[in-house]
Amino acid sequence: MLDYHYPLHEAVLPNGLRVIVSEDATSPAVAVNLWYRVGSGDETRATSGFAHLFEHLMFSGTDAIAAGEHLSAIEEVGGHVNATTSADRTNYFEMVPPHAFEFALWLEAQRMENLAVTQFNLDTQREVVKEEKRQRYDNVPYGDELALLLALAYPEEHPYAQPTIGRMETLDTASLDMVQEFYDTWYRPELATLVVCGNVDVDSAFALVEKHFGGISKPPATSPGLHRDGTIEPLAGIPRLNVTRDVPLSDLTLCWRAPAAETPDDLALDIAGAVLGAGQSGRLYRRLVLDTEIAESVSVAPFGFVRGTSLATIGARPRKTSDMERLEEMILEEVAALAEVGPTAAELERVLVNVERELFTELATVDHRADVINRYATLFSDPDLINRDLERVRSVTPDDVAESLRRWMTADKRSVLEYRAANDEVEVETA
Amino acid sequence: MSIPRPTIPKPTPWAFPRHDEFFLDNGVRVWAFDLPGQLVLRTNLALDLPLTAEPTGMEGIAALAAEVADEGTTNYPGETFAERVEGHGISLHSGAHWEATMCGAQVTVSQFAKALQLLTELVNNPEYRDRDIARHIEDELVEIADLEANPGARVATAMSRALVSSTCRSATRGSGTRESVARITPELVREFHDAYWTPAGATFVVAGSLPSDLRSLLNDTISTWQGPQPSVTHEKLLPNESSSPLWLIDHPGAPQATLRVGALTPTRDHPDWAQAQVACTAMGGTFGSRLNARLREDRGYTYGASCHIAPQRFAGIFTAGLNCRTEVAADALHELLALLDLADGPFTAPEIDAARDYRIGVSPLSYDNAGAIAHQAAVFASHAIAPAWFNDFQRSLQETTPDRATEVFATWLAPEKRHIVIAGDAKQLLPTLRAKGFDPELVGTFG
Repeated sequence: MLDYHYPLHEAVLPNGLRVIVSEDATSPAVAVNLWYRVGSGDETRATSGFAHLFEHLMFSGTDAIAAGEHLSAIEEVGGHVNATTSADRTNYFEMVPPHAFEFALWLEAQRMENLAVTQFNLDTQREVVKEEKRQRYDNVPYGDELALLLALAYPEEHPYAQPTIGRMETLDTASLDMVQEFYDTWYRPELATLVVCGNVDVDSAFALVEKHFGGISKPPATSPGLHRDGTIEPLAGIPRLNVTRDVPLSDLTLCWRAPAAETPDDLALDIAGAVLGAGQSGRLYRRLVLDTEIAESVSVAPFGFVRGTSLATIGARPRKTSDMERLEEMILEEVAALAEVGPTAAELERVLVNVERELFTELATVDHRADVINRYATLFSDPDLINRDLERVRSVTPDDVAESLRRWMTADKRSVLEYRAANDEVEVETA
Repeated sequence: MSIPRPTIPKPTPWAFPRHDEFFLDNGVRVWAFDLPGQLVLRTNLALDLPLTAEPTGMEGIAALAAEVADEGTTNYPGETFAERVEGHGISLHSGAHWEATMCGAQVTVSQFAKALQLLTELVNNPEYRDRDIARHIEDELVEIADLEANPGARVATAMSRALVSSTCRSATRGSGTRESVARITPELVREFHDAYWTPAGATFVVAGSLPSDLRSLLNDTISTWQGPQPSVTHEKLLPNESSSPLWLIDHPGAPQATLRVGALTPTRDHPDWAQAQVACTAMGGTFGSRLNARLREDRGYTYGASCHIAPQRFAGIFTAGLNCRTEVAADALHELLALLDLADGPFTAPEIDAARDYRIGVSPLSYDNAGAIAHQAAVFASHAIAPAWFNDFQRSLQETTPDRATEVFATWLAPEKRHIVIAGDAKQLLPTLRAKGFDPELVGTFG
């Protein structure tokens, strides 16, 4: 196992902003990575999609920065810049040459304090976001699967019942008043964490952060940002949804309510997922794709939600829709078999060495590393988890894996999405 | 409290990392990039195997030969190969590109020797069982059906046919068509591998924190690979002189129109390459570019508009485009073409300064890891370019001017050189396009 340790220096400014600096002199760049702890999980059904729309509006400018200039100004210094929204957080990030580090801080600090959104910005970005929804979800095969899965797994008013992208009709109701209230409630130094990672020395990084963010003070929020707890019991009664779409192959997804991300059972379930579904040696791939050739592909995906109850899914595309039922049985058999005796030592070792490679591939660049540090800091209050990732994976035993499956992923606790191809006759005639 | 905007110096040109070049006994050229701190090594073996080597009517056979190669080898049959590979935490990849089949590994430093051994197995002794090849053929046919349901993919394949003469391999989808893939047999795949997978002309790229015994590790592995001396040709792209200027692919009920404008251009060896790159960046290469400023930020037509020239070995392929809701498609296309016609005027000095500074400044960030270096170097090898070309390019970026960039853009992308392809709901699109003076030709075939 590689011996590694990323240095982490941490401070909290008097206004509550948490700051973490990780120096890396081998990088040509500095990453500025700012997380606000608000996401689509903080919306109601009536405001679905607003957190993400707001992310777009964060590029509207201030009295000192024109609309869109945040993006173009970072590009002109040779940097990368973007933002993303998930269920649990919204992140904003720049990766810049070291000499532009202070400029990136200035841009982020300005919009944390003085964002100015006009009706024109709101109207335009509402259309842009609707086009994003059409492009990424409505106009691609299988694009509505996520929304169907969430609706099947969570009750209507649960934080995770809606996809982050939202719905056209709720996007239409967004107003400037809602924008201001959301900004005042959530975009506050005490609800944000700033990570600086890369080619900058620790002392000057802290000094510059203090210079630009130290003076930000916001009036008390009228409606304090409270994160709803989403802990709910496992599914019962095997909810099943059957839809037909114009896609080439049917798609079967089994879904379970799972423990929140980074809890011990979540880690054990992640490993179970890798034993079942990772690579060409995963148990499900071997049986479904290679041995029986009943499925064209198989995938296992944890959702990584943090508010009490997350999801774990196993998906597979049957070569023939008529095999859907048999495919479901086979998946359940493999999960049950793993739940009974746990993985072999060789399987656990395989998972560990592949996690190691994937981890260091991800951490090879300072922008990704900053984002991982911020995830651990913001969602789990412990940035140093980055230095204990492999150790934690190594500590999981075959019994842990089996027990977590028995607790969370038994057949009676699943939901089933049958996404059926309208025309099952993909012509397969080979010479 | 208001803190004034910090000032920033201009970015300075960056040099592609230096590499060691040497040759193995079997003729493989090695490019080794030592990048301290990069704990995951990336390798890329670029075979001198362009898709023109595929027998006519068998398009897709190179992709199949590459994709099935990791399904077992003669020494590690069937699933035991994947068990070996994954048991060491190695990720192998193998795929066919226009000018090269590329095989490589992603591996931590401690498992590098094992990865070289398994990579050598993959290129030298693939098992190619009938059932694995048959399954991959079936998967490819499903993939084609999947792409046919995807407007973006349909536009991309149609654009190749619109731009490139049907006498060229590049007019047809790289991984083949429904008809060509269905003709391929396991025996033909094995014959293709035996005839064309060879160390002759191949380049092995490795990047990362290199071990001190790299040469001896390579002598024990990649150097043992043997093969024939086939003759291959790299294709010059001939333009399609007969296609009408606007194709429309019908996707009934599609909620968006997918609009693309394409053109064949010169490529890296042209003296105006840097001018063209900076011009394209100013037109549609960044958030702040003309296309995004107008079509996204002013009009709200699209999630993003862009343009770029992708350099191939003997030509560049220009693509501009956006996806937008059906009801604004005709207006969006009209505005897109006006922007490409430079109707807003020549590029200004601030625009060209910003685009040039972006291109120069972003290089060290784009190549800050072993994966990016290994990938780019392998592309250079397959296009017969030395990595040092990159440094000349960086210098020539500094010489771009608004006048020259404008002139090059207007010449390379003149309206008569452009072709438009749209995918969307034809019933709704046809009347609005015609009302704007466009005359679309409905086309259907995929591939």
